[in-house]
Amino acid sequence: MNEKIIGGLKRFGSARLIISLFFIALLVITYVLDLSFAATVSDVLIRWCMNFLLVLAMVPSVLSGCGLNFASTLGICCGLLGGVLSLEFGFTGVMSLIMAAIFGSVFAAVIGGIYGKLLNYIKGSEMMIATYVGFAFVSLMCIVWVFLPITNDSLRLAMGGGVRLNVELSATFGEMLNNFLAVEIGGITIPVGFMLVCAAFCVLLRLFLNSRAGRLMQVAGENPKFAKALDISVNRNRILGTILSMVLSAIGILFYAQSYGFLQLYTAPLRMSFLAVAAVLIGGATTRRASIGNVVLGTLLFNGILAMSTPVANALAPDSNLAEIVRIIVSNGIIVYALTKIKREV
Amino acid sequence: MQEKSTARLKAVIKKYNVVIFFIILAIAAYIVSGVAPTVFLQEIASRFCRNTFQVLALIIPVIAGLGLNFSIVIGAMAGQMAVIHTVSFGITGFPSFLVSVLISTPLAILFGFLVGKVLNKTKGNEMITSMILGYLANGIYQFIYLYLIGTAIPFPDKSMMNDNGIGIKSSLGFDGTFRYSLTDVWNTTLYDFVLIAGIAALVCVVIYLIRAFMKKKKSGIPVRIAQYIGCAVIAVLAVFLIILRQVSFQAQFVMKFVKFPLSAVICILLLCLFNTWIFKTKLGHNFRAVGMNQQVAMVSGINVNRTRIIAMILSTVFAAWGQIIRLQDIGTMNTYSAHEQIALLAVAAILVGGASVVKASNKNALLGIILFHAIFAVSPQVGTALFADSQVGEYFRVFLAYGIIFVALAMNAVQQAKQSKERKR
Repeated sequence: MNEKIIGGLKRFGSARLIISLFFIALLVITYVLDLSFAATVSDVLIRWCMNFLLVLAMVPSVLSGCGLNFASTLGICCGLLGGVLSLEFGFTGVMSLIMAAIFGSVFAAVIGGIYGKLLNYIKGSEMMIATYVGFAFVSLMCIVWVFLPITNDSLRLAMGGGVRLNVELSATFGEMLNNFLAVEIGGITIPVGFMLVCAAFCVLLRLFLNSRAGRLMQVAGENPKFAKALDISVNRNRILGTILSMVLSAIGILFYAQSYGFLQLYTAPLRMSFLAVAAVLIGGATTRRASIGNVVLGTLLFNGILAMSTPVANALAPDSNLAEIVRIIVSNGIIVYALTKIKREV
Repeated sequence: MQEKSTARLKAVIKKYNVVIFFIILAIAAYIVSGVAPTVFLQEIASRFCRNTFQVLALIIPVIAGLGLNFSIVIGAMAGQMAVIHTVSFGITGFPSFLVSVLISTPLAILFGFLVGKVLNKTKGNEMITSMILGYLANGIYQFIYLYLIGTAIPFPDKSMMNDNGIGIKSSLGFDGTFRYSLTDVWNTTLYDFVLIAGIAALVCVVIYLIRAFMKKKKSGIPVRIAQYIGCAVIAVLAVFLIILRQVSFQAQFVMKFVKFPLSAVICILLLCLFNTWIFKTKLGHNFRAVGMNQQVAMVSGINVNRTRIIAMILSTVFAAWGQIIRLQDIGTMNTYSAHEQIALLAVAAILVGGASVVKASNKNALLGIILFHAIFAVSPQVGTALFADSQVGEYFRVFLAYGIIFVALAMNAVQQAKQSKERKR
């Protein structure tokens, strides 16, 4: 029995254990200090859902052998572009979100295909290059946002051309999923509808991974030599994984934006991929293994910590951005920790 | 004969393709921007003196096989910590420079050691690790200087702290204390420096031409023509620089009253010499051996991990000193963001100079910093000239920096993938 517990803890990993304890500690502090416990928990739940797809996007990338997708900012930018176009064409209500997702997915699939091709030339250094592809693309998109010929006044910069820094969504799909089938229990708002939508994406991904194409992709990612022997095209499967990852990121940022209430353009997406990477790593993924379970746990722990550290930090040290510092240290710390683990697995 | 020399010229162009591309880009950017020549010159000169030291700090890790050291931001933080405490002790003038160097060195050695330790655990992923370590260190640095100062760590100078007595202000000015502590040791005006540099360049060209004629080198005609064109360009530039002394009052103002820190230039030259010297020592040979092939180096009795850590320590220490040189010349400091862009700009600069992930030299650093900052300095004006929007130029130069690093990394990775494929065959 004892061995079983120790073995289980070992598999859980010391880093994850520390993070989980930190999460629980924050939860307790929030309750003890009476920092509007119900509102904080509601916030944790919303953040769990709003970041979910962005983190889920890491799974196909890792499973297809491309490593953690530090370039998911490409997909994020595509999703934002989809959102802007959907609003520009005047869609409202549910259609605005659906059309944004469709536009965004199409762009993301194209960009993902091109980027996946690039990744095939640079096997072995994907993560570093992905980071700079992401940075370069975001700064390129900054120029695109300036020159985008927008006619809709609610999107346009007040002075001159170009899209606004933050596009308000309250008139279109802002908080649509947040309020979808939301249930309130004891002051805690549970976004049931949003959770169901996220779960639906999990099921879809699960179905794909269990399908023939999905299994082939995982074989190609896990053991390229073996895959070659079976006559599976490693390169094509890597591209497939990248495209899936990008499309999920594109839809993910729209979900994020509807919760947040704004499409954040220009340099806002610059470091978003790092947060998604950190979340999936906290969930127990590595650069070569990732599961939907990792995503569920990791997103809850990481975003929960971020959500709760703000009120706690404000109570401990008022007028501070201690929460921001917690975010920097936790997210980058876990990435460095994961990087040090790479060699031992191989 | 003719064909052979054409082939040689082609080889030269291929070897320096990156540099040639950026020379053309820099000239085009300068022409489009319409910036006054004196202002342009002054911009490049001051950026050169401020940034070159840190770019030179990148060379040793590249040779030792650690790739581009993005964690020089950690060195920069060590420099900033030293500056904060030096100023808080109320030290001024040249001693303040010496004291900050003295404080920063042990800090940088410690940080470099820790970074080296981590990088030894992440072999093959050094660059991304060093980058993320930089971000992580940024968080810790902010935690210390925003919260621990004034609460856990006593701090003597209340004027540098936030009003509530916790944490250092987000922007510090060093006028009358630390500012120009190195620059004032030995400086001149750009006006005088231009004259000396112009004459020196002319003399060099003449000597070179005389030697070329004496030797009667039998290199092919195109190469010789290329050499002559090069000499002619330098000569014309030198004459131009000398004539520049006679230009308008406004231009003279820029040139006569802006300090040109010869002392910083001396520091840069010393580091160049150090970089050349170290690769002639036993340690330098070890750096090279480890950079070429870790297995071979290990078999021949080199302690690979130790060598890599030493490379990181040296780089971090130089980055710290570089930050001190930079800050004393600028005179103000954004406590929590002054270090953030350091690695991006330094790495992009050395790559523009023709370096790669596995190859870098003083030449790459010096040339790169001039070219990169020539483009960087004028791109807002280029944006204004082309698109009537300076913000576009701002975005463009950020894109340029990121893009350069991406292309260089991708080129190197493609080469590596090819090599490993060939080895398998």
